[in-house]
Amino acid sequence: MTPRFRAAILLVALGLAGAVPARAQVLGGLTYTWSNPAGDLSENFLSNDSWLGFSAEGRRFISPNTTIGLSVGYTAFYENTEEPLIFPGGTVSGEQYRSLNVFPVLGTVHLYSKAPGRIQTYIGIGVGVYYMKQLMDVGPTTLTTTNWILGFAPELGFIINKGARTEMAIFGKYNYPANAGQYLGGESGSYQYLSVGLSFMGRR
Amino acid sequence: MRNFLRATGLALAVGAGLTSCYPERASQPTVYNSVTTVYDTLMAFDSVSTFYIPDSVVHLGGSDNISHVYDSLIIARTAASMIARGYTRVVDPLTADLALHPAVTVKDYDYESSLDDWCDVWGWAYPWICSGWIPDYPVDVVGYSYSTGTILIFMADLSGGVPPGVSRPPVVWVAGINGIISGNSSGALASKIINGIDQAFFQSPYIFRVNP
Repeated sequence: MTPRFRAAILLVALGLAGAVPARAQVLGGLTYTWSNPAGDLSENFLSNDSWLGFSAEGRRFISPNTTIGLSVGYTAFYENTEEPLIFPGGTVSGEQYRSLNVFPVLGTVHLYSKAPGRIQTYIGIGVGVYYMKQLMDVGPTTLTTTNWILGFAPELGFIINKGARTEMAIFGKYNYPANAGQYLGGESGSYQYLSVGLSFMGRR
Repeated sequence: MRNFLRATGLALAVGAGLTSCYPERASQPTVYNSVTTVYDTLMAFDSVSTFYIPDSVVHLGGSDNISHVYDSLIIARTAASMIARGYTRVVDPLTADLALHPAVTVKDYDYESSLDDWCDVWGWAYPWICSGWIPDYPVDVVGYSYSTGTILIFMADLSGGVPPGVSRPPVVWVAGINGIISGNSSGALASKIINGIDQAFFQSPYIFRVNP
């Protein structure tokens, strides 16, 4: 079973195609994220943080305090470095340009606090697949590889103006792709990153 | 729908502002200088003691517009690096455990299209290479390319004999110092050659007869 097929099954299992209350509300919008590499990503490939990240997200209420949804994102990590890249059987050193473009497609579940007021806390988790394109320029050569990796992303957020026409949320999300794939150098890894973001969501 | 569009516009505006100062990828990738080394992980480099290096540097890839003025520097620095690692230089290749063959590319070079080039490099010493036997080491180098003026240093293990007498390919280490020698001679180029060869050995700590 391919990772993409497994992800599709997972989304269906999360209830995206399931029954919805008659008065269901939908939240939708766009998110901007700053991300910091972690795990094998920072250890083996690059350590620069990323100021380039977006995701589009839709959430549907299945109860007054619970949503299910879908998040499709993009995060780009870049770095110019002279750190050697060590792989089984060799080493590359010198000036290099390294990048990792990540496209997560996650089914999400979020639970919202019932506390009154304009600020509302929520927790959530996304489960799905991460498409990762890794690139390194060294000398006249460009090395690239791509991977589809299953993963999950726990999230903690705060809606800071609940009830406004455009709700804003600040959140932190830890993206945890599984230890799998084959990255440059021929080894598998778990290319994790922490995202902190600002969401702008409209309600319908 | 209006709320969704407003939300999207706000996010894009914030993102556009914060992503405006991002590191650029070089428009011409050859500006990235690099040193690449690959080696045979099965080779016991501390089990051999002597090496041979010829007096000349092979210029790979057709008509030659690269100066030979640095040949002696490349050979001397490579030999000195080997001696510093505890190996003994010998003048007769038939008595050497290792043979080092420096080369300089005189055109952009695709390492993968190796049959003719391997013949160019090694054919004078090992005629069987040109008769169809293709070394397949190192396995990790796939589609690697080098720009004009790249220094390549090949190391062969001759201690156990050579094919077809033995089945194992002789090449146990390759260093590629990218794009150094091009254009006219200068002191800066000499310095780059020295630094490049030093870096190749520095990132190859497994090459030692005594600990460096």
